[in-house]
Amino acid sequence: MNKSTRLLTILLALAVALFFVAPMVGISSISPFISEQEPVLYKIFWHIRFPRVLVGFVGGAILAISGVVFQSIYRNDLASPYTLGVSGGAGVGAALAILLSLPWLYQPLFAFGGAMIPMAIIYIASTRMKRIDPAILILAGVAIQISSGGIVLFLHYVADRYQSAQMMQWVMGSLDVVSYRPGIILSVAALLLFFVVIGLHRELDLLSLGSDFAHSRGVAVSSLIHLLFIVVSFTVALLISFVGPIGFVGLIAPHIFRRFGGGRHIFLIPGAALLGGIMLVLSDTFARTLLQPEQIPVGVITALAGGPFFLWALLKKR
Amino acid sequence: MIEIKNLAWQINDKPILRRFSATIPSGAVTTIIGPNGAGKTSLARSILRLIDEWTGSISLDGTDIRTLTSQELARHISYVPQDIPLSQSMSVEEFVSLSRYPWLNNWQPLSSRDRDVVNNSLEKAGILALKERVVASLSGGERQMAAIAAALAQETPLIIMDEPASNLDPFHSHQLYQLAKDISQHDNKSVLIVTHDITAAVRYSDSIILLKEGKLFFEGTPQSVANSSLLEQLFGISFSVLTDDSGNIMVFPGGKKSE
Repeated sequence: MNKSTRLLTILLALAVALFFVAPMVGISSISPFISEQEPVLYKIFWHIRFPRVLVGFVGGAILAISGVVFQSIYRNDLASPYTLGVSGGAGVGAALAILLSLPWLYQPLFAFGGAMIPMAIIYIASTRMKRIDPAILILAGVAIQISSGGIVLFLHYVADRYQSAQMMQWVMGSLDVVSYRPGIILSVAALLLFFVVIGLHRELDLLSLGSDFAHSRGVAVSSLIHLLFIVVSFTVALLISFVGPIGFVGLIAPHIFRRFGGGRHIFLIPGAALLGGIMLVLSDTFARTLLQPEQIPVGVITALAGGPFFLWALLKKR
Repeated sequence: MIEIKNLAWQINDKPILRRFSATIPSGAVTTIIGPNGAGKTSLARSILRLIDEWTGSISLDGTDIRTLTSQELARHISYVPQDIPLSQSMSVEEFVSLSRYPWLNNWQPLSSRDRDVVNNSLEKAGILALKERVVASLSGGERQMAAIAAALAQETPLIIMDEPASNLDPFHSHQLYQLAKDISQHDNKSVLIVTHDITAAVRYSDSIILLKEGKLFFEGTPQSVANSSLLEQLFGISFSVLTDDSGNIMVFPGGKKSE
């Protein structure tokens, strides 16, 4: 068993364990073997905490896989699932739904629609390029992110205090789900994403060495980037519409796996996915319990832990 | 054999290649020499279809390269770029194995033949002992040899090298050109090298193409290119051409700018 396979096995075992351990933790500690005879505790475990762990795990996996893909396309460790401005667009959509006082259901729909706008702009722009230039895509993403930020600030300005607080809450990201539905939808999306991306592991290996190198080895680079672009952005937009823009997991999980498990995508994709899932579930467990009974938005935890960690990892690399 | 006819390419109305025509023979080392901006790299990139907006025709053993898919093209032409892509986390063996991509189907793992091809390529390039090392940890010379091993593992009849020795010391530079010559002679491959090193070109090439302002300036044998007045016309500077006791030709720029 090589280093990468060993690490994958450990991560898989950790992930399985976490699925049972994480829902045990909370104001009251509950065993996964809780009997249905205790309906309240049973419900808390299986209908509140477990769906939340599921969303956390699947969400972390989606962010990590998307991070792997964008980091390979851009050949840049700082690329994240949000590099193309998807989170900015989603933020505008969600803020608009809040400002218009639309029923709760509209918030994820508007966020999803908002996330699709930057994707459509960049997709159309890239189809007009003779050759896709990742640097231009990054800059386009930055421009969209800045513009979206401006629009969200304006919506904050015209919103009342309650709406403004809601917008703030959304921007921080949260795994506060109340049913299995988001977890199931996101699991299907995550599996589709996983199989598409793992099927392209060799192409991603080549792409991570540069588009000229990939082209000279027979990869149809532009078609590949377009396909990845659509699949990843669609999945990330779906995730954001449920949980908001949770930062750093998509940035850090691929980075850590690459360091300890190597850069071959056949290992990196499942490895980063498992690690991303574990990281987000752990972060959420902290978010739920650190100041209990209050809950901190999980995005705050991932940013607080992720920022310094990433800085450390980058400096250590030097 | 590659036949290039009336190849033209421009950026924002500035012509880079102007109706360039030439033939690159099989089983030989052909070198392209010319001043900066003459269109050497653009020519190499056009053949690789890294530049795709040119007019004219490029055919490979009679097949128009525009009719080939990316994968088919990669089965015919491999590329050793000027800057070798670095991977912090990929071993030399993994890096070279990636060149088997054009020969594999989607989920097909590397066969024992693929592994043999990779090992043979590493051995030919003299870096079999380094196969476990991470590419980023190699020296400049070793990295260049890894890139050549990768090109060999692609098993193409044509290998294009863009200024492959520009960052190498004389020892590694000699080793690289000698390897290029061996590949062409023993494996019957065409090797096309873009370089500024006229002495190396004259010593190791079978034929040399001189390129000036995007056009063919001269095409001939190394002996015919080792001509001070021809090189002076090309570069606008005087040249000294010397022959040592072993018959090796050395070409030095004289430093005097011509009128």
